[in-house]
Amino acid sequence: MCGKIAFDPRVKLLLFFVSCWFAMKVTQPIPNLCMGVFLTILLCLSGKGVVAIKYFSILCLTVFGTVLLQGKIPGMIGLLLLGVMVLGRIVIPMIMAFTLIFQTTSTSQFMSALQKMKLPVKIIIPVIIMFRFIPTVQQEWIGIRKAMAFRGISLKAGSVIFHPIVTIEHILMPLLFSSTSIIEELAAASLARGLDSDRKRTCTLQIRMRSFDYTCLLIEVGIIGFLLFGNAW
Amino acid sequence: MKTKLKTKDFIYAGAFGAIYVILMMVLVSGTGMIPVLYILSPFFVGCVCATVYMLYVTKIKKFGAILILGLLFGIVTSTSSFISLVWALICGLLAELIARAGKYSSKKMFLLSYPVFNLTMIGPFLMLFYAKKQFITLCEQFYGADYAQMVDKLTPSWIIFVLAGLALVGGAIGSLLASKFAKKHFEKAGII
Repeated sequence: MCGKIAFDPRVKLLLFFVSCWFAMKVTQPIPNLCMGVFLTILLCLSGKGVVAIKYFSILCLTVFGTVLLQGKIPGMIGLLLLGVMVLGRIVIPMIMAFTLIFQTTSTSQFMSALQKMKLPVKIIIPVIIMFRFIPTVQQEWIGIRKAMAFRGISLKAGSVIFHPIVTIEHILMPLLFSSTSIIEELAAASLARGLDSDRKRTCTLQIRMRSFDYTCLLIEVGIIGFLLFGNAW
Repeated sequence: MKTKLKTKDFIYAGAFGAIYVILMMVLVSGTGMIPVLYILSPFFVGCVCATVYMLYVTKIKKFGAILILGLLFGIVTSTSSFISLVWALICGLLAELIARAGKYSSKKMFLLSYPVFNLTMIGPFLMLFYAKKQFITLCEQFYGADYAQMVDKLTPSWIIFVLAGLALVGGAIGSLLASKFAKKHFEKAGII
């Protein structure tokens, strides 16, 4: 863990919501890029530099793309291209914040931070499991695509349009079957570690706010202020 | 069944929530590039996600399960507006009550509850209903004036009812498919 700064999970969580809100609301290119830079710095500090720079370069590409392309290419192709670009512009900051939360924080760390926020366990467990499970589903999805390719079933537009039900079946069934067995294992593993005991959980890692957490928090509050009152900008 | 939800059920809820949300996002972003298809997305999501929902509900036959799924869905869609979280909770509660009316054992009631649950999909679109101007300006800033005009034409104020109808129809088709798949695969494999 040397050379990495472990931010407080609560700060990261707030950052996630702030960046989602930001991405949906702010359309000017410069604030978009500023947000991207901020997220990139945080990711680099948490030891995810390579991924961060990759995302940031895609973000730059889409931001400049939307600015340059807007209204330049007429017709359906231009619209499609623009659609992809705008999607990237909205989604990439969210993905960056998501990576920051769930790939630089362990599940138990996250859980104890949420418990410090006095949220009920009934909400904490589903939420944590959901976010923990999203990468797993992605992995399964890649596996299913490969298995389909081996059997000569492709996900081309033609097959999706002409045989929608068969396509749904081919994708959903393996996904659900493999996920169900994974869930069962996961549930057994977490029950074995005493997730369902009524006693208060303890954590060996101390979760507390430190100076860089406060700095980060200050910037986040600044961004919220900008979102609330900076409409005239 | 009057048992309370246990930790294992919460784990199931979270995991199925993940599957549901990922499928939803894949469908919405896949169709989102073309404006007309984007409006149809409640229909597609209904068709596909019903199977996930049905498997989930038949696995956990307890009060609160559907509500938690609604909550998870709401948390993800609340990134666009806070209203959709409230809306998702309302839909989840309604679906929960329908399933409860069948005492969590009637297959018909489960099938009926899915279209109602699928109304969660119009949550992100509710903005069209109460803050249309804001939505159109957002579109204009992102995509340019032409696109905004097109969206404006496509979405008169009654569109939300069309969307709700689409969500219901999609949900109904989806739940029929789901019961077919359940017979064909799940019951044979003994998952349910």
